[in-house]
Amino acid sequence: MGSVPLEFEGFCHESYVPLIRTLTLYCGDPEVARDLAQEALARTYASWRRVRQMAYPRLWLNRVAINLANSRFRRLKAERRALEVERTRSGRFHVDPDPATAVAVRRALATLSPRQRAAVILRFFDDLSVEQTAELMNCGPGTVKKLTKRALDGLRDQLGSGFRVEVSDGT
Amino acid sequence: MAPNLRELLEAGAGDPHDLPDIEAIWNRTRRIVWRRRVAATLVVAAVVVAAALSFRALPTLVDREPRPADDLNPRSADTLRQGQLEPGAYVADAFEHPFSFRTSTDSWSASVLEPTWVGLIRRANYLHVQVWDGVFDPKSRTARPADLEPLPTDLIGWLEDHPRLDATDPVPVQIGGVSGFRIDARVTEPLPTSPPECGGLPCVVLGRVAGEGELVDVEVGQIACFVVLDVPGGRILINYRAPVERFERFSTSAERLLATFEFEAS
Repeated sequence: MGSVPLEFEGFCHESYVPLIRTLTLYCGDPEVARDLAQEALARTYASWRRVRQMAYPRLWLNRVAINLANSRFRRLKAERRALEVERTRSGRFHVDPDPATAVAVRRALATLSPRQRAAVILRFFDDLSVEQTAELMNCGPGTVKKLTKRALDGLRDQLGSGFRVEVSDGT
Repeated sequence: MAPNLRELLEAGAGDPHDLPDIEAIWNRTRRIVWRRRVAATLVVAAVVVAAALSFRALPTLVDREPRPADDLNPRSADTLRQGQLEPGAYVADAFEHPFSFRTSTDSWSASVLEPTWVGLIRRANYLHVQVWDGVFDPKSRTARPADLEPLPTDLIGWLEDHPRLDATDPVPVQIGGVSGFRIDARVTEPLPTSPPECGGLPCVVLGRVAGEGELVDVEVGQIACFVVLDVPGGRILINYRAPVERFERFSTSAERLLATFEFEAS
């Protein structure tokens, strides 16, 4: 393995920010999300020959990232690194345009179980279909629908019922 | 107007504005690749060590006595009971001519366990192992006790010549160490009046199970397979049937099961 090929570099540029945003919602911390995103991209690069032939490499990257976020060991490591980065870095890379809503949404998501959280983020933020979400979460479409429904109930409890849910395909 | 969930999630995700650190990703990748190589080397080393140890232990393994579970010895099999059968070996010792068999899936169930009749069922299709004590007069238009005749010596020939059946030529078979003949048949001319045993469906009644009084019939639209085995002290009739469109599939499963049969007296 020599230098990073342009193809992978392009993939990194294209998927880095969306991945951080997904992981920020999933983990609740942008710095931890940043570290996990880098690790997920590194793992993707380690298997790039296989991943580049997949129909949706982004789906694979998301799966790796969610699995990393679910790993307690990896998460603690990422939190440690994130603390170091925050101590040493002068400027901030993450901006919340609406801090109050951002904090409320992340708090509400944190009350959900990891699988409910993954289901609602993948469906309504990453715009994956029920089938794609099921494939990524390694479960059936019915389970995704159930998890999504419970997640929405949980979010309504936390955020109040005043939000609309719009999806391209039925849940 | 209430906000969209998507807008809320967008707010929660924030707005990161950095670029991926390709150098850092590359460094992490190197560590991952290195870890994978170490793991692969360790696995290869473990396999080599395990192979070496097994090779040293080989004479012991070869010389060891076969355990009861290694073969289909009826003594190591469970006694057949009614209900779903887990994969394993079973012995039908309540049957007049005890036999054992083995299932590799849980798709078979035992429905009847009598001295003259063992009924096994797989997805609503039956396989019967029976002892008959009589057959019904093929020329009769009914299936009343008065139409019952003694069991013919050549039961396969009797089935082959039955006027209401279209039967294949008998084929010699060996099941569970016992030789016999197999014939497949379907109804060409059902009885004018369907007896209650056929549940109102047009059928032909062929024989009666010894001691049970149960009548054995074949319905129109079914293919029935009959295997007659002569065992010391009696005659066993194995029969299974299924609707024409399902017969081939069921026959494959039934033959697979019959291939594991072992009659104790054989």
